[in-house]
Amino acid sequence: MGNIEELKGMIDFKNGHIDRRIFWEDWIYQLELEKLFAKSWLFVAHESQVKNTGDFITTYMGQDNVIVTRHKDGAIHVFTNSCTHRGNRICFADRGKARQFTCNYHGWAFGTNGDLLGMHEEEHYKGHIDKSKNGLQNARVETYKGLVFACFDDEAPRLEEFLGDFRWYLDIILDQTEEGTEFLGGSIRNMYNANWKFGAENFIGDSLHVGWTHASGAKAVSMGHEVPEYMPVDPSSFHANANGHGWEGGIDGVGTLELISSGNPRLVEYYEEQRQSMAKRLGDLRARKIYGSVISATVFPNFSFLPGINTMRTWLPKGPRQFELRAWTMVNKNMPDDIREIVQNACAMTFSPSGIFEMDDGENWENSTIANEGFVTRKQNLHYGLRVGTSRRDDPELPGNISRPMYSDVNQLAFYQRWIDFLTAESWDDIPKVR
Amino acid sequence: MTTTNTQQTDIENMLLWHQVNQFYNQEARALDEEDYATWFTMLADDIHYWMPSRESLFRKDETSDETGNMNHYNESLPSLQLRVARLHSGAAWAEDPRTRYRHLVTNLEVELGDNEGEVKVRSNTLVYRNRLEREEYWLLAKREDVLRITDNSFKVAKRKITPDFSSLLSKNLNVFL
Repeated sequence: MGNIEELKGMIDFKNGHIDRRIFWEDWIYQLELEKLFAKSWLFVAHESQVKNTGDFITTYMGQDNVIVTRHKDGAIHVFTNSCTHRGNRICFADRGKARQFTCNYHGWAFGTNGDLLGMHEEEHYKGHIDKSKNGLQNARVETYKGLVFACFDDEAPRLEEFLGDFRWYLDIILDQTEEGTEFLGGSIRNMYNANWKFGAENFIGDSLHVGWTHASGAKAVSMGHEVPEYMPVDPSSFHANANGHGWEGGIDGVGTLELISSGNPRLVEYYEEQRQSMAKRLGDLRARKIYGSVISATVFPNFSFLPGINTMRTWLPKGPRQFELRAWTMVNKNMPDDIREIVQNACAMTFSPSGIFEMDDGENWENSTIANEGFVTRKQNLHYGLRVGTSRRDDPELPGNISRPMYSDVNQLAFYQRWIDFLTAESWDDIPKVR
Repeated sequence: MTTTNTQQTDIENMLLWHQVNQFYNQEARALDEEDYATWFTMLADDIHYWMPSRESLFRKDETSDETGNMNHYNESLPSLQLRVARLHSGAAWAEDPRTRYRHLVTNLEVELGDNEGEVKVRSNTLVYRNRLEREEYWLLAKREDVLRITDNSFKVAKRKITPDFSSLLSKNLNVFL
C-alpha cells in the first residue's frame, strides 16, 4: 500500500514522465474509486435515453452501478442500484420503462426517485422501519445541452463550473441546431483488459498514434490513393484543455467528414448546407473551420467523443487492468434519415469493436497495461515529454490552455494533472476550480 | 422397389441440405484461412450483412431488431471489401502475428425462400479466436440467411447475425461470422 506523497511523485510534469504503477497498482485504483469517481461529475446518459416518465438506463459511476431514470415530476434521478435490505441489485436491464424497481430477493420496491415505497408482506415491518430513511442513494444530477451528468459529492461545484471553458468546445457538437441532439437506440459495449486511462488519454490528445496505429484503416479508406508516409504538420492544429478536459484536432473543417464518407459526397454536402445556420449559433471559427476536422476529445475523467463521427463513449473501470467501453452514436434531432444512416454506419465502420480504426487500439492499450506485470519493466518511467510546457491561456481565438500544433503530450499531462489534483485532495476545497 | 413421391421429396430435401452444408463448410474454411477473395465470390453483389448489437432488456420491453439502432455490422459488399482492405493494407500491425480463427457452423435448417431461386437457412455458429500467448475468445451466434441458388452453388444474399452477448467480451471484433 502506497501513500499520497508517493503518488505525487509519480508524475513529473516538468519533464513529462509518468510512473507506470498508475496503470497497474490496486491501491491506486482503489484511490481512483474513492477520490475521483465518487467525487467528480460523471457522464451517465443523454436526455433522449430517458425522454419520458419511467424511462431508465443502468450504467456505472466508477464501479457503482446506478439507475438513471425520469421521475413523474419530470426530473432525472440517478441512484444506486442496490437494495437497502440485503444489497441485491434491483434492476437487471440495461434500459427500459418502469413504474418502480422491485428487488427480486424480498420484494422491496423503490420509486423512480429512489424512495423506498414498500415491500412484500409489509405488515411484518410495522414499527420496525422508517421507509423514508431507507431509500437508495441519490447522486446530484445536472445536464448540459442534452448530456446528463451525475455526482456523488455534495461539495462539488456546479456542473457548468466543472466543465468550465470546455463548454465552448462541447457546444460545437451539442449546439449546432435549435432542436439539439439525441442518441440512436441501443449501445455497443465491449471489454478491454487494459487500464481505463489509456482510452481517456488517447482521446484527449494522442494525434500521433493516428498516422501509425491507424495506418491500415487510413490505407483502406483512401481506396487506393497514396497515403503519405509522413503526415504534414498543420501548424494551426491545436491541443486545448480546461479543467482536465481536452480537445485536439485541426481546423480544415473537412478531415473527419471526408474520412467517413468513403467517396460518397452526401455527408460533406449536407454539412456545407448546414454551415451557415451553424455559424449563426457557433460563429465561423467553430462552425466552418473546427467542426468536420479530425478531432478527438475527453471530458474528464472518462467520457470521450469524436466530433463528426459522433461516437460518444465512456470508459467504465472494472479494476486497474480491465474496463468496459460503452458507446453510442449521437445525431442532431433534425438530421434527415439518410444522413443519420451515413453517420451510424460510419461509426460501426470506423470506431466500434469491428471498426477498421478502433480494432487496432485495443491491442495497444491491453499490451501497454499487461507489460507492467514485469517488476523490472514496471520500474521504467514512460515518456510524456512532447512539447511539454508549451500551452498558453491567452489565445486570442480559443479558450482554455492552448498549444500548437496538435502533436504533443500537452493535453495528456493536463489530464494527469487533474487526476493528481483529485487523488491527492482531501476534499473539493483542495481541488483547483480552474486548471 | 419403386420410389414414392414422399421419398423423392425427402431425397431432394436431403440433397439441398447437403449442398447448403457443403457451401457453409467452404465458407467457414475461407474465413478461417483469411481467404477473402474466395469469400467475396460466395456473397451476392447486393448482400445485406447485418449484426445488430444486443442489450439485456426486461421481457416486456423486448422489441424486434432494427437497423436504425446500434449495429456491429450493417454492411454491403463494398463496405465488407473496405474492411478487408484494412487487413490487406500491409499496415494492420495488430493482425501480425495472425489471429488463429476457427468457424463451426451447425444446426442447419433449410427451407424454400420467399422468392424463386432462393432458400432460407437458419444456422448456429461458434467462432473461436486465439491470439498471441494466451488470448482466447469464443463467440456464439444465430445466423439467418437468404441464399440465392446459382448454377452449381449459392450466394449469400442476406445474413442476419444475432450474437449471444450484450457486452462483447473482447477488445475487438476482428472477424466475420
